[in-house]
Amino acid sequence: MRVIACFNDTALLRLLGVVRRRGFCVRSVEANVDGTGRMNVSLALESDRPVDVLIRQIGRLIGVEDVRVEPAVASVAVA
Amino acid sequence: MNGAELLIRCLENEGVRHIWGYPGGAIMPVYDALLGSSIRHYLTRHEQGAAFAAQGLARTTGKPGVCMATSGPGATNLVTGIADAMMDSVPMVAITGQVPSAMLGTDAFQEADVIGMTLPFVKHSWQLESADEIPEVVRDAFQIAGSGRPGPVLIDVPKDVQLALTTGEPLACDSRNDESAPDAVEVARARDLLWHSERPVIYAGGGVRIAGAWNELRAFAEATGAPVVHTLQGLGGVPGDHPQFVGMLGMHGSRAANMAVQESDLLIAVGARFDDRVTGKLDTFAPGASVIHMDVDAAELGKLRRPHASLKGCLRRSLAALAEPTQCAPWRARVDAWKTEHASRYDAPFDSIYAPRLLRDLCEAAPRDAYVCCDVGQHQMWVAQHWKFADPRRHLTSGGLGTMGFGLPAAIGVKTTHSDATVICVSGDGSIMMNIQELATLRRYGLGVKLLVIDNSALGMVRQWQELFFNGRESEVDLSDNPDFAEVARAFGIEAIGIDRADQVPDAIEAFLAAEGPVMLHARIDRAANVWPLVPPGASNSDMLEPTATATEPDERLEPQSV
Ligand SMILES: Cc1ncc(C[n+]2csc(CCOP(=O)(O)OP(=O)(O)O)c2C)c(N)n1
Ligand SMILES: [Mg+2]
Repeated sequence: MRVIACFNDTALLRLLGVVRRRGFCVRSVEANVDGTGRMNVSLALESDRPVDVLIRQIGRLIGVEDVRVEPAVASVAVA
Repeated sequence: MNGAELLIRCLENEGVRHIWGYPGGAIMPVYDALLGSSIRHYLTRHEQGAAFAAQGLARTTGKPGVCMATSGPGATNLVTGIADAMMDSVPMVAITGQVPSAMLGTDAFQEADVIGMTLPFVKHSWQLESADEIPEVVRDAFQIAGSGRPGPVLIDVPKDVQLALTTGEPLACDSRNDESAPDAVEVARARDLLWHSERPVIYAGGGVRIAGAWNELRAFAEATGAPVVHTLQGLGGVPGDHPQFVGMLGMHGSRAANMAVQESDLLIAVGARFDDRVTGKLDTFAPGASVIHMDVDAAELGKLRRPHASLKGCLRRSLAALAEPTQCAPWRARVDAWKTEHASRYDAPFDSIYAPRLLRDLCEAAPRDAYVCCDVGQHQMWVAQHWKFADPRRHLTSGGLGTMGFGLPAAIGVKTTHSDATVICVSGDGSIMMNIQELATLRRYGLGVKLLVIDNSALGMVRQWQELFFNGRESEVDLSDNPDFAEVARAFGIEAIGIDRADQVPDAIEAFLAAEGPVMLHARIDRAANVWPLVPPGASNSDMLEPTATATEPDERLEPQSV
């Protein structure tokens, strides 16, 4: 899953908090901030819950611009 | 101007007239700035009281309520009220003082990471780094708290930011909200489902109140002719005496409401979230029904039950888009028959006070537009079952979090906001003790809140579960050594009436409603009374328990009450 959000010092905490509370395990995280102040996060997740609901829950976070399931990641890790 | 003064000016600019709070070291500059302000601050006697009072304003006006506390213990004391607001989608702006920026992270005196602590319970939060940020943050805070699916936000203000000089000015308010129409394809699908349905049921929740959509809900119900059931937060969506209203559904719902839902072939969920107290065992909930789900929050659609049509957007527009006749007259007749057959009875023959009847009588005697704030427990369920609400803003209850102690401070917030209204708080002997200190607030501001304490000398709801599901093994639910609550009220300077027999009820209700200032009615009831009917935890809503023959009568195995 790839999430693009405005970066600030709590953005990553908020994102990972939602993921954990909604019943997903994080298998890997990669995060970086680009020159425009956007944070790009790639997550590999594991859960038996539907990922489309998680996407909408992450989408509610203020500052999140885009959430996408990437097929390569989805097929291996995201249920 | 310093940051604290700018903060107050920005709040004034947002139209804030009341704040509930409690001062302390890290927020002293803001309290100083309040002195020159048009905003009226109410000192509660605990920060939790401030958060619930702010909810009293928010739940009855739809506007964000503002509460304020100092850092550390002040902030931690606010947290329950913030979490409660999140669970019930109540708009709130919480403001906390914080230790100076340079001392953050040093375990400074009264430092607590309130941002971290509240992350799961806020729509958003900010810890300010500079006074120049204040105008933008306050504007965004109010916009975010009050729009879409509302909820709490938090602004944490380090003391140096409060003291820093700034040339900032308040910005124009941002009143943008999600008024978007539902997707046309989904609307067409929903219309088709409605048209083909023979047994539709409208299942309406707190979203109706939040969206101010009760007129549209009623028009939709009357156009379709479908029976309406409400969640706890939805009560009043259609008036409690509306012929199409069947009752509350769920764990303590009415049998007719649960039967209607279980037998339905189409469930129209309006601003409701398939909460476990509503659905019982989820995979047996309305097993034969297709679902139309309307909500402003996309994340609710499909969270617990897959809808056949998803109407994301403004409820008023979604309801208007579907308001067309259906062919459900025979079904309506069946549901009406269940409603008559399973109607509540109030003819309990014994001398002690029967709480459902007391509440029914009080409801009939009180103005139709009275506000009723509840606490949590059996008394809360009795209010839900037996009070007939004219519209959903009249009923304030902590549903999602179920917080004992909510009622009295919420009533304080309602009465300060609507000084001419009748405001009743229905509490229990357990719950009232959670925020009893707020009697001092009632007294100080002369707020004419009417406080009914239904005293069963027990944590009644827990006792009931122990009786039914733990073989009657009572553990830590006894409150038979309660203080005399009427005396407690009088000690705070509040008028009080104490009763313990059914024949005292009519006069007591009259005096209670006639009182000008704050008043408590302390009603002692039988400890053994239970809330019926009931869906046992984890069971299907088709398997409701009814009282056994003796269950609503005084239980002789128990000690007589020491009255
Ligand atoms: C803050 C808090 N603590 C514990 C509970 C669990 N709880 C739910 S109902 C209840 C009993 C409430 O007692 P009382 O206010 O006397 O109401 P009654 O059920 O007797 O009417 C308890 C302890 C809760 N909901 N909130
Ligand atoms: Mg009790």
